[in-house]
Amino acid sequence: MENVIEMLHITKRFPGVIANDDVTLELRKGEIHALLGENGAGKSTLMSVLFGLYEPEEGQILVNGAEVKIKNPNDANKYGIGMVHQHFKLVNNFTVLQNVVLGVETTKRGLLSLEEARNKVIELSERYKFNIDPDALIANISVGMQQRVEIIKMLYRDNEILIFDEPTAVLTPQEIEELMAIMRQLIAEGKSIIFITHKLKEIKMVADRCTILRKGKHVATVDVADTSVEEMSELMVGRKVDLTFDLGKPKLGKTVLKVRNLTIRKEGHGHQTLDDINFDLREGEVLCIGGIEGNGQSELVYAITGLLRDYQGQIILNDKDITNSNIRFRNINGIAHIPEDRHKYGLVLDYTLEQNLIMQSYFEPEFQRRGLIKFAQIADYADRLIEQYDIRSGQGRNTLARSMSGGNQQKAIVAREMERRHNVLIAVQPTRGLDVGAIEYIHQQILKHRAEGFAVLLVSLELSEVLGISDRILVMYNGRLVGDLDPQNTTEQELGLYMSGAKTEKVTVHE
Amino acid sequence: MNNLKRKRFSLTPALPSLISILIGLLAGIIVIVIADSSKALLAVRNLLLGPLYGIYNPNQSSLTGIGNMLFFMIPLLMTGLSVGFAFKTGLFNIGASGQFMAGSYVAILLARKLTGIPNSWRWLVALAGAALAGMLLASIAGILKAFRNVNEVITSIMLNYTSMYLVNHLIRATGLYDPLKNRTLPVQTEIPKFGLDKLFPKSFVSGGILIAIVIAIICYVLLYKTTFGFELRAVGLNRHASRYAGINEKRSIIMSMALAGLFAGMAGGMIHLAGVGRAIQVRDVLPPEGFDGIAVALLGLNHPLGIIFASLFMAYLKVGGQTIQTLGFAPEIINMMIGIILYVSAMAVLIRKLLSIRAKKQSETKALGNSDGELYAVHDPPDPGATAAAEKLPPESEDSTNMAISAVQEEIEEDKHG
Amino acid sequence: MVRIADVFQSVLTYAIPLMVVALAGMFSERSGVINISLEGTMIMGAFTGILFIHTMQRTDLMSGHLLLLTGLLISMVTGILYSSLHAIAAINMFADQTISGTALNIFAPAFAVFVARSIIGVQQIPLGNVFRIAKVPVLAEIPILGPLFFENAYLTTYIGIAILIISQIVLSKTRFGLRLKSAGEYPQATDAAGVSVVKMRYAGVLISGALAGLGGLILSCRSPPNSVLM
Repeated sequence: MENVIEMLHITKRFPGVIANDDVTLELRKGEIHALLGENGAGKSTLMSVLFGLYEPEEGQILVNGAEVKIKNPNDANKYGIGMVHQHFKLVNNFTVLQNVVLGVETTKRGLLSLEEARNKVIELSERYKFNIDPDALIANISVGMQQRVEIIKMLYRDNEILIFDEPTAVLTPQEIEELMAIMRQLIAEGKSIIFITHKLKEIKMVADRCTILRKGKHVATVDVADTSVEEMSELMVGRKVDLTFDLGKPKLGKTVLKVRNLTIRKEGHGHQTLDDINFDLREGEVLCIGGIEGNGQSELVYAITGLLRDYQGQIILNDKDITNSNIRFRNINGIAHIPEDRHKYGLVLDYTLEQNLIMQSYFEPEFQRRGLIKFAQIADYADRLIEQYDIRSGQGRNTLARSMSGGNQQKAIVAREMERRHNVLIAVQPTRGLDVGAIEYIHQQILKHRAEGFAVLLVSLELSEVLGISDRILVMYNGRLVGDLDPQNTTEQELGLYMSGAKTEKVTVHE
Repeated sequence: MNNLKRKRFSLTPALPSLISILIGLLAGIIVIVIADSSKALLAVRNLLLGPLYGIYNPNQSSLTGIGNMLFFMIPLLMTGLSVGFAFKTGLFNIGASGQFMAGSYVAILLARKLTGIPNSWRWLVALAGAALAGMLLASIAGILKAFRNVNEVITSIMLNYTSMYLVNHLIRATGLYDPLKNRTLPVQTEIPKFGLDKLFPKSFVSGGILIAIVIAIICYVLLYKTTFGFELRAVGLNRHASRYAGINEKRSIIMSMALAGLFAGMAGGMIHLAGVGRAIQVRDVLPPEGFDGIAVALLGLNHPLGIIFASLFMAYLKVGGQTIQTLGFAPEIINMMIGIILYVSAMAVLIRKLLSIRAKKQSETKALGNSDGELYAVHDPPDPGATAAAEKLPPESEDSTNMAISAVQEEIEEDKHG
Repeated sequence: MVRIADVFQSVLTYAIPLMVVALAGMFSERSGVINISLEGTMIMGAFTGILFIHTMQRTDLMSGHLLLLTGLLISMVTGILYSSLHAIAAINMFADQTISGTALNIFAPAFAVFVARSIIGVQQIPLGNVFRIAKVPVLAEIPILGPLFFENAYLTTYIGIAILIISQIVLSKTRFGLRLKSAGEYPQATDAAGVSVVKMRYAGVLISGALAGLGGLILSCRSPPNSVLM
């Protein structure tokens, strides 16, 4: 079979790092070729090289057997290479049509003339059953629809080689199914697809072959049909991975957090509404809120922690009604919170590690006297946490948080929250964007916390995490709790049915 | 903590500022030479050394010149603190001019009307009034920002004009208007000299400068040594993270704006209570002091101690500018120089970047050697420590390499789009 | 009726330059660069324009509306040059746009006064009120609209209105406008579409400079004292 793209012995260096080290990737015509690797294994860099965003130091790129130089996205487009980026490259307040034509606009006497373009978009939309209105604003359509706009952008430019960068991360299971179908239709029409992912199951579903990268190096290219998920996983991580834990029976203590009839009715503002949420959280258990992103989990956590205040219902923390309390009050009365967005909420990036470690406790008598900061005590405290939680950085406690690696930033947040006086830990997607080593570490810490008798409310999107380290699962769908499951007796398939809203049950609290 | 202290007082962060000052001075000298080469030598000498001789009479003792310089420094320092303090909390107080105007008016009003209070105390009341006036005016912008998320730049620009026209009206309405000179009536009350007039004879020097410097130091302590300052700076750097940490970010914003206004209001009070016959000119022009404050704050890197030096430097330039006026050079040359200095210092990021690329190359050859992370943090390969320990702990080192790549990618991405 | 027309005429006098400069700000803002230095750019544009007109008025080389138009052109070129300083700082050098803009605002009036004093020896450059059109033939006879728009009018009023219309078309109907807006809204999308964000932003800032320079001269050659500086 002929190769449409050959990337041979590509080496791309960044200061201090070799992002791609002698990587070779061959894409055959009409295949779906998966590119697998952990976060930062070099997948995105390799694709950026192909798309003309970076120039490699070594190696060559062949398109249809002829060597080419791709210096910018225009060159890539010229050779028929198109890409759906992980973060969509769409202008929010432009229409679908405007986004599609941007860069290849047709004009008549100096003015835009988009009738032909509109017809082509409508035709493409019909052919692939995209159901897209060319005049809708991007801001008003769903994430899944936006992804289709990105696909139309490539097809409009008659691209033959399509790169999908982590396309399923933002989709619901149905949308993933639909995307897979679209991808199959595209290769049936003779297009070729590179599919970047770290989800093995999806590779099994659609890909023909799979190239695996690890630490910037090419590890293997395998036929998906002949390779098991376990084998691919081992190739990706470089060792046998076992993310399963033996939890044992939880030693349940008293109820520390009660949520009653929690409801948010606020359309717009990008907030999901919450509909009559009720649950209890007890000492010694890990309670997991499972669900697909954007079904109200964030709002639930914001309401409990006080970041969001426009809600009805009642929240009781350690027998105190905190429904109308401010964030500080909730924090000092027992809530610790590992936020989902560590750069937005978790850290002040331009503060030092030490300052970030006391963000939640600088006002305690331990660290201040009459408003004056006790620097020596803070330094000692920071050094203790850094050692205890093995937080690595260039200059110890004086390192700016910004210059630390993501894993260590997360460790700093975990250390800060776990060491604070509290008895309820709310951890929202604590392992997002981390690699296997860091994930194992965070999971161990959470389970250690559970064993010490703390209550943990875990919000996670990863099925393996939801099933792996929790004692009880509450599934959220469309702002409601739709399932109360025991992870021991639940399969991924069953969980998926609840998450997609196909199966629901009433979740009640037994007083 | 010693480590941290040593860094804070090192000159390295100020290096770009110093380079820009040199370039600005050089540009000024070139302009002088072009404008009138025959008098250029004398003019440059006066510009650089003039402040040490005094303004109107080059034969005066140099102490007089320094005294005058200290007088000019007062509004620069106070408005510089005003702008810089707000900057530290992430707010741009472009309204220092209006706050200055409000402070000036209230100071004159109280000084002239409060005849019941003994003269030796009246200045204090007048100054406090000035501070309060500036504070109240700025609070409006702060409150709107905190509760309605109204851009403080827009509100404070509008409040500048509100304040100016209101003061011009009130000057007449409260009987402070001197129609002959089109300005406010003279004020007898003045801030005590604290013996400075003995030290700097025949100069304009005022006790206000001591108060201003004390306030700058208090400002430093407040920002860097107290929990209050910790909160303010945190809000300035990341409003979301501060809220998450339970800091009342609305209160921080209002307090920060109020204090900024307080400083600018005091600046107005101090100048009009300095006993040198300054009065508010009744014109439809905003006082330039507020805008000077922006330059001072930026040059002083928004650090109270940096602002002391920046205001001293700017006062020096201003006095120098006046000394070359007698030679026929327009004093505007000083503002041109200030403009150039600021422009170049805006490029300081570039200077730093160039330095950091060099440092990066060095660290690359040294296989991830340690460079000055505080300055170049964003560009460094993160976490050299962990990488060095790579062999011992494989997963973590992997993580750090990964992050390094993505950090670099993000950086390139950002660079592409400015 | 006549009194309303008078008021309207002086409103136009002030509104048109403000509108042109507001459009200047818009072009820069839409491309993704905040142009605080509009004020300084206006001063520079007004300064070179007036200096040129003043110089020409003392010779016989040029006069009347040809002189005005040439002056406007010079102001625009000045504006472009001056704002390119902001563009270099903000786009190439990643400078803080606030600081760069403030610096240019501090520099401009000082420069104008300094040069005016050095060249002419006065701080204010006098300028005869020669560009006023008492009555536009034919059009001034239109009822209601005639006195409002075509009496005691300035050529620059019509230029200003033309710029408004052209700006609207450019921004909403052309390829350039679409790309410019995308660079301001989401530069990553512009980049991925193979359009240079840097070029778009340069275009935005330089157009902004041209219009600000123009607005500066329009403002100063119609306000009563007819001088560069207040």
